[in-house]
Amino acid sequence: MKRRIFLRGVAGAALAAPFLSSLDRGKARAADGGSPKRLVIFYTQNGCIVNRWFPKNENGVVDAAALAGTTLEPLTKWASKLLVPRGLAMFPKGTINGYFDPHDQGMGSKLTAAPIDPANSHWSTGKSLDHVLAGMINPGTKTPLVLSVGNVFSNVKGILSYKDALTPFPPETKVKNVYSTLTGLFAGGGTTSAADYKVTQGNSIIDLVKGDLDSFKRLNMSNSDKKKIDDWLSLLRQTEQNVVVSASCNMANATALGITDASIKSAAGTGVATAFTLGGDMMINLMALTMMCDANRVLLLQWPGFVTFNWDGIAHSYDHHGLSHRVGSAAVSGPCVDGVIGMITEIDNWYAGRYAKLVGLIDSIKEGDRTMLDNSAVMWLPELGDGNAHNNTNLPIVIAGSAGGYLKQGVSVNLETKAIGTGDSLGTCQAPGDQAGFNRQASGGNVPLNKLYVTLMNAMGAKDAAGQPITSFGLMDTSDVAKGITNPGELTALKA
Amino acid sequence: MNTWAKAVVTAAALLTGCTGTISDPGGNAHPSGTASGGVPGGPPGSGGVSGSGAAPATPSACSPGIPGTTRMPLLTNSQYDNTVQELFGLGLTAETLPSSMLAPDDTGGSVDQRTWTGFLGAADMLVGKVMGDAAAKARVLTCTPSGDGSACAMQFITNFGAKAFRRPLSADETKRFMALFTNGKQITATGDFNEVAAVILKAFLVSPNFLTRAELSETPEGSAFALSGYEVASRLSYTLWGSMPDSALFAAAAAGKLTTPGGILEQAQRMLGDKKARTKVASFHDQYAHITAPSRWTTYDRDKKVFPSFVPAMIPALQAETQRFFDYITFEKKGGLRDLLLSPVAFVNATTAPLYGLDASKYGADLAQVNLDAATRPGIFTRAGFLAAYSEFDRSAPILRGAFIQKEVLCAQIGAPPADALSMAAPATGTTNRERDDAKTSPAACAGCHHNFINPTGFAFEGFDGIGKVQTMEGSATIDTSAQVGIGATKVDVKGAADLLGKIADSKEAKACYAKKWVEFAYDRSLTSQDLCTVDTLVGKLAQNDYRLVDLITDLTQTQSFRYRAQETELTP
Repeated sequence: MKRRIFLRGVAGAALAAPFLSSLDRGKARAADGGSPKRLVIFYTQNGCIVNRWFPKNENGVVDAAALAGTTLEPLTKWASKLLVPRGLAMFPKGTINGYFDPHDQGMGSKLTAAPIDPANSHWSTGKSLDHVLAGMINPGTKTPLVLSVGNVFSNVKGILSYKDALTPFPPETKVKNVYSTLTGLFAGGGTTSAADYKVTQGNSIIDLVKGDLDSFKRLNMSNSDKKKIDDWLSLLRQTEQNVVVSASCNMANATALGITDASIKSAAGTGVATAFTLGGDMMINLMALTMMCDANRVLLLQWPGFVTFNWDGIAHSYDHHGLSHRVGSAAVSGPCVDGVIGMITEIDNWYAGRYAKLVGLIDSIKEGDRTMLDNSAVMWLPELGDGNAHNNTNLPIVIAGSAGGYLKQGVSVNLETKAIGTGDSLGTCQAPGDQAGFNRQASGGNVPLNKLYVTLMNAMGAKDAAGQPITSFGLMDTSDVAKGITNPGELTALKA
Repeated sequence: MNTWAKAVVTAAALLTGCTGTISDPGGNAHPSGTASGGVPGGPPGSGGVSGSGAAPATPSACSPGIPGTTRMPLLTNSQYDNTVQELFGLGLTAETLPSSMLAPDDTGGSVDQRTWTGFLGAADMLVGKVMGDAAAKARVLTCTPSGDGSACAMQFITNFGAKAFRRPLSADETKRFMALFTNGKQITATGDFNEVAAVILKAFLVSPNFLTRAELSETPEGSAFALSGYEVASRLSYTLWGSMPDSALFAAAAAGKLTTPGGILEQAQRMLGDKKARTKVASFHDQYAHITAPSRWTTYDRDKKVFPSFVPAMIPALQAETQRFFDYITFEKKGGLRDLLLSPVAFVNATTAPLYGLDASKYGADLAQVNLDAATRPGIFTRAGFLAAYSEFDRSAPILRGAFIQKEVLCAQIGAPPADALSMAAPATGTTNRERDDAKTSPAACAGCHHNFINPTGFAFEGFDGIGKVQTMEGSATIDTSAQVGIGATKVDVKGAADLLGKIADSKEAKACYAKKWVEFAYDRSLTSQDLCTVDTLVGKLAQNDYRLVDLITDLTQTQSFRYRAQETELTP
């Protein structure tokens, strides 16, 4: 996707359309009146080969030399727009409330900074960053755009997003659905008399729905049902407001992004290979279009981990999770799969290529005198750090884009007080016949990930209820449940 | 909503001698939509989570009464699909079903923007299709408008409304829908009757009375509320069919026949004869065996060097074989839980026959019913479907098989692992699966659960290889399938899988586990202490050899909590 797409300013045509996703302008407009800021999260599972993932210097300039030979090498073209925060760890981690599972926690605690429920279905006990932030900065909808390619588990191992404590928010996996919410927003010319009856019709139907909900409300409902009714009513009030559709939200730009009815159909084809290749590309295109339409400012794309790579020149017999354990299965020890390190490297490189595509595409869209990437923070966030250890320390994280100048660019920043190294994913399985064990190598880097989230929230211009910058996120930033947040504030070392 | 995604049934107490488990093999390797992990016996950690985080404690014993439930559960995507198929008879295909446009099934909480947008889009799609399809339109608009059309509009609103809301409309509701008709000229381009009817149809499809299975009657009965006949009809139809009531159910509701257990039973028995009930029961068993995709059953590869007869075509055939077996036992044989666990009947085709030592040339592509040797192949868990799915690329997997049987068939409650359990795994020394698995789980932190429960259960199944064929040798070693297996608090010595399955079929644990899963599935919610009384009753009945699965299913409609509802407690998140 080389073509540049020019966003024709943010002043769009006002279009009263009660049934469209509401885009209530003005509330979260960037302070300078410029382009909106967005947080985009690109999320992959099963860790990586940490030895080669990071830029070569853990503190200092990220340039072509620092990226050469690393997993991030495909990002070389955008090196000057990268920020690599080093030494971050997810909290809570390890045994919490008597329960431990690296996958459940890597999913459930990753964006919530809250423990997962040790009983029942192990759902997270907190609300995730995407929902918190969408509630603060999104125009209109308070629901983030949460996407996944392929089949996802409906249990804790497949859910990254939580709209509330113990309330998982499963990702949308169908490209067609994402597309049809956007086509509904496409600017379709001026107001006509045809639109007038449609507005009346929409309002009449909404009035009926409200009437039904009001009659529910008059009954003796539990508090939990009352809340459901009130939330539904407030959703209806949002959709009643007039919407302003960005002028660049149109069919021509969709087509320029490669989004057509035909390509949507191909991308929705069956099979995991299609879902990861055509489907994944289409999800990335749709994320770009979502941002052009300003239909959402918080976007999340998950890539499921229990897949066997058999596309784009990769031909594996073992699923990614089994390879991450080095033994080809969920067993934590046993003989190494022949060539396992090479296979994981292929997967790491493939994901780096997808992330580079996302970054490149967003950077190709002009917004004023900057690009959409410059107004965004596009973060590659992992479920686990080192795949063999299934750990969550010294996390491989990279952020592209400065969020409108808030974040440093073109650097690695070691947030720890000492050198941390990369960790070691290459301790076993280097020679044929090696036995893999669970990697016990300690990995440095224990700066709470919450602090990065606080930094990103402020970068997006989020404010707390009192209109002040955000100072803390989540329920805890150590693995001690009782302590709560011990180290509030943002990571000033990452600020431009 | 898949209730098993919300809750895991739990045994009364922690297993004796089982104090830890390896959680990670759960990892992505237990991928069906259930949370299959062990549930700690104790209350959540003493630190707890302040505010909304704390989950209700898992019930452990029967306490009589009626559990509180929401009065407005949202239709699941599958219920939505089935309901509109019933309403319109459009013959939608997988690609055109409304669920293909709806947001993923919600797991609780409020309708959000994404869900609402999905409902609006699906309603638009359906209205377009219905108005463009003569048969579907005639089903909805049963009259020809004359004069100002108001009589026909009234008929449409009254008749279609009663189906869409699964109860007659109130006078106020009829009035509000008729107002749409009266305003026809303002809300459509031309005011044409059909155009206005289309708007009314859309309004029905986005009404909370359509989108939720609302239970609005408030007739006190002790500390609970008696459901109306129509509300019972909906509970019956969504429980047994996953769809809306049919005309016979509506008639029974109108005639006041659904307020007594006898009247409900009569309908339930009739309903089980419908193929919609078979589909619903199939979906229960898909969840029981963790077949629902994505799962171990749906995607795997096996090493052709080790298993030369493996072909990918086996995978769908084995899944079909398993589903056919469950359906056969329930509806054709009219068997019980013992039959699921012990019946020698199997269904094979040319691809799968060799796995059972049968001559492929005698079978075609379709599944054929055969009788296997009950001494080797009793019941569903000695079929190649389960055995192959619960294996690794190049070997059988005793730990996966054992963990499944313990957790999903016996509902064994396995405690939480100590910190660092994962890194404690010892070197996998030895030459056989059995030796290696025991060696790597030998540290004390692992051995409690593994050596007493998980591993020995799996070892009993070592007579079957990674694609479900009988095996007697592992390399040069003779396979030993004898084991001492914990079934609940009891230790039993078994010679192999058939012996073990016989003991499992005799156990209270397997009966309680199966009953609990049915209660959760049928009532579409987490198990409560009140539900455990139902489970106790069912366990007693399952002990009678002639108690059929169809009896168990209809008995689920005979409980008080099926006929009554109670207000949710305010602790529910």
